Formats: sequence, structure tokens, C-alpha cells
Amino acid sequence: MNAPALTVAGIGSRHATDDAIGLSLVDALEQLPENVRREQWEDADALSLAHRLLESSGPLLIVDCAEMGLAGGEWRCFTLAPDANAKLIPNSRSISTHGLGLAESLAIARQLGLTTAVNVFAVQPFELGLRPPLAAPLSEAMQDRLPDLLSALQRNIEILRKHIPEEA
Amino acid sequence: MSNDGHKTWTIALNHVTRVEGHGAIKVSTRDGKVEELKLSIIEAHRFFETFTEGMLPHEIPWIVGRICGICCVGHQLAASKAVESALGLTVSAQSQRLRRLLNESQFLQSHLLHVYFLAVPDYVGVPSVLPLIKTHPEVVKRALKLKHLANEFTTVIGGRALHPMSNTLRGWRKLPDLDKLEQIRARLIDALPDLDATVGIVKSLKIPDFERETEYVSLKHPDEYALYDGEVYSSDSGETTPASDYRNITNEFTVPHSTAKWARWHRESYMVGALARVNNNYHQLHPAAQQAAETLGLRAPCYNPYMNNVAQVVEIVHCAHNSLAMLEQVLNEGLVEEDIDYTPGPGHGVGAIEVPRGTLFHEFRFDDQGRCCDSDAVIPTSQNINNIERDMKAFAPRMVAEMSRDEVTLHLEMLLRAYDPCISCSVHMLDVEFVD
Repeated sequence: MNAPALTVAGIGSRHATDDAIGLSLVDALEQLPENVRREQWEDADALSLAHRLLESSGPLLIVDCAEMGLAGGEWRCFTLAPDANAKLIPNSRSISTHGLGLAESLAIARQLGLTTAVNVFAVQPFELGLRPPLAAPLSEAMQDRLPDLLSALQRNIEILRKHIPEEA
Repeated sequence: MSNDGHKTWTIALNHVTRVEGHGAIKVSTRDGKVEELKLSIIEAHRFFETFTEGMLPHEIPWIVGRICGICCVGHQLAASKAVESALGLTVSAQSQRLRRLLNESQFLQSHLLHVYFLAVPDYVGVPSVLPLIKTHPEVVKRALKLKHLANEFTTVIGGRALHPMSNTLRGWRKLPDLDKLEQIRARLIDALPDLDATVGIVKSLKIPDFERETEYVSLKHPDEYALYDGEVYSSDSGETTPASDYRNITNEFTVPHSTAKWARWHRESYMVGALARVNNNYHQLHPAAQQAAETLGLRAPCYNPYMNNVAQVVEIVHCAHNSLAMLEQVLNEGLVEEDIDYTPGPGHGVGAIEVPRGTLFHEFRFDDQGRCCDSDAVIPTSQNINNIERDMKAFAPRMVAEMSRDEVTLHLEMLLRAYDPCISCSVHMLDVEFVD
């Protein structure tokens, strides 16, 4: 199988309400173009995430829940690069691996040689917190937003795919 | 190095880093002599024994698994065994094999995390694994790869890497996918050179020269290197004791400076964990693990507690090879859905298992309605703390005579970390205080 032009990876947890939005959106993706692959990096700790980033063989689109200071359910799609105007904020209060997140995973992977372009489709949560067993993973408000978010994600996948050189 | 003979220090390490939970070390010296040394455990009580009161038997393994994020598999399996013993439930050979695989996958996760990310930085003189990214990128890449593989191994067997949910009383709720098991097997084979490289790295580390003979306690099984099953063996008595007699083994007691209970058996303290297991059951290690031990200079019996980290590497090699053999059996024989029905009822049982840090005991009692009415858990670290403090007291006079204050601080922390203590379920920030 040829390397995919784009890997779409959902990350998050299904046990923390809207933190599951990345996983839910990637679950809901249908009929992806041939050279786009989907993966679920569910419940991955920071060290596993760093390894997955290092192992990725082409451009990435990470779909995740993010605190961006926006209204709940709003989304942004951005590229993570040194000269980009969107940056992930490391958790400066934690020196434990328990407190590490995507920002730290990406920093570790970059230092270890990751050169792949990393894009993020980020969604502002309505609600975060533990859900009771058997409850739907997302908040009702986020569940209502799911169709619009899915359309937005598909549009961005198409945009990214078109901008990727053929040899990628 | 200084040795002026007039060292009067109070070294207070209020939060020892790169261990699981809150521990503090305080050592006071006057004119070069150690006047006081205490290893304080300052974690709050967890109350899991109370949480389980009123619960149904099948709920208990999943609840008590939450005692620890590192040894969640071990707690779940010890509890499963205890509950099954209480209710007289049988477990098929297939499910026992899957449990052994699940347990060994957790050994790989835990030992790899501890050796590479928590212990190795001590030996190469850096505060954490992060500086190694620049100086030793290939080592960190290898560590990430192996840790990720171990996580996925647990996921394939148990449903997820942390707090797996597939195992229940009597067996598996959802059997592992055979194709995924085959992939894990292939990846484990691919990773064997990485394990050789791990042995090579650890061989290059300078292990502190300190020995104190103690009592070594672990499970022992007539047919295998005991990680899942067996009776409790003491190097002092040379005999095994049924796990159901664990209260007369651990003899828990309290000391004023620790919220964790201490333990003692045939003498003032004993050690559990990788070094105790290797000392007690060396001849049952996989030949490749015995070869690794030979390469690393670990010969049983070994009385240097710092060598516990080396014993962890030996067990990494053992678990990888033993898991490969078990995976092959599973793939050859296939997996079949099994009847896991049971009826709650009264009973009392004890379960014991080896987890990465040592022997773990669980005990449950159920009333006539099948509801839990009494429970107890004795974890490895509470069995080790007494022994760690005695090691520190034995080594500290030599440390103070031969080392600078910073070196004493480092060697005390390293000694605590060598035991891979799981004081609670979290790692806390570095905060070292010197009081003169």
C-alpha cells in the first residue's frame, strides 16, 4: 500500500464528555478519498503519541478538542509550524508524564526528527468532565453540532489533500 | 568529593521525584555521623476497601483496578482470583493463559517506563529523560517504540492499555482478535534486537556499590517463573506458604512517620519486586533472560538493591520471550467463547499475584446476598518501605563519609527509585529543600 497523502487522526478520551469530539468526528467520516487514511489515537498517553507522530509517514491532520477561548462548538483548522500564528501551549505546571499532552508530544517528536507537516482541526468544547457509565460520550450541545462539524472537517480534508504534492 | 569529617547536614527531600506518589526523605548528620534518617510516606489513605463494601462480586475487579494506573492489571487480576476463590469459581486454561499474557504485557509497560524514563536519567546524570532527547535521541526513540508496543500489547489482550475491561470473573467478555495477536507477535519478534540494545545500555550504567542482605519474598511456582500464580516463598525460611495466610506473612504495622503500613516476616524487614523474584526463581527465567542477567552481571542471590533496576531489565527480556511462546500457543489453538456466568453468594477468598513492584494480595468476603462485606489489599510498596529505610540507614554512613552533599542526595533518591515505589498513583514535582 502506498503511503497516504494525508492521515486523519482522532485523539481524545470518550470518558471526558466533549474531549471525545475528535474521536467522534473521525468515527463519522465516510468514503474517504483513496489516499487519505483515518486512525484513532484513543486514550494515547503523551509518550505513545510522540511515537505515533514519529511513525507517521505523511502529512497529518489531528482532530481534537481544544481550549481556544471560543464559543462552545466553534472550530479552527490550522497548521503547526514554527512560523505559524497558532501555537500549542505546553503544560508548564507539570513535569510529570501524567501532565503531558499533544504540545509536549509534538515537541518531543520534533526534537527526535519529525519533519512531517502537522495540521489540527480543533473544536472548542461545551463541557468537559467525567460522564456516567453508558452515557453518550458527547454533551447534547456538541451532539447537535456534530453534522456541521463533520461537514467542516470533510471540507478541510479536501483542501489539505489538494495542497499536498503528489509525491507526498 | 569532600571528606572533611565535620559534615553537619539536614537533608530534607520533601518530594522525591520520578516515583509514583509522595515520599520524603530526611537525613540529619552531625560531625560526619548520621543521627537520624527517615523515609516518610505522606499520602492520604485511599479507602478502596471501604468503596467495595456492598458491591457485587463481578464489580470488584474493575473497581479495585483503579487503585493504580500503573498496576491496574495486577490489581484487577489479584481481585479476580480472590473473588473466584471466595465463590469457588473455575477459570479455564484459555482464560488463565490470557491473564498471564495480560499480566506480562503490564510488566513490559511498567518496567520499560521505569527503566528508561525514571531510572536511567539517574545513572547518566540528568534530571529527567528530556535532556536525553538531544544527547541520546536513538535511545529515546527506542524507549518510545518499546513502551508503545507494550501499551498496544495490553490493548489487544485486554481491550485498552489502561484499566482494561475484557477480563472478568471466570474469563474474557470479549476475546482478543487473532489477527491482532499475530501482529503483536510479529512486532515483539521485531523488537527483540531493541531489547538486546536495552541490555547493552543498562550494562554500561555504573550501579552504586552497596550490599545489604535481606529477606527476599516472592511467589514461587513449581512449573514456571511465578508472575501470575504460586505460593509465597521466603529466602529466609526456604519454604512456601499459601497466599491465604498473607496476614501472617506481611504482619503489617504502623510507624509514626508513614501513612503507609510497614511489613515484616522472618526478620525486621523484607524485599519484594524484581530483584526478590530473580533471587528466588532465577532458574525458571527464560534462557534469554538468564543470558541477559549474565551479561548484566546479575547473579542470584544478589544483595545490592540498586540492582533491582537490572532485574527489571532481565524481566523485560523474560516477559517478551515468554509472551511470544504463549502467543504462539494461543495462535495455534485458537480462542473459543466460554461460559462466564456465575451466581453471587457468600464466601471468603484471597488472591495473590506478582505485579512489577512485588507481591500483591487481595482479600474479599461476601455476605449471604453476595454483597462484599469485608476486604483488604496489601500492595508491594507498603511491604518494601521498611526495607528501603533500612537500606538507607545502612548505606548513609558510608555515603556521608565518602560523598558530597549533592551526591548523598542523589544516591538516596536513586535508592528509593531503584525499588520503583508506587506510593500512590501519580508522580509529583521535584521540590528539594536543604535546611542547615
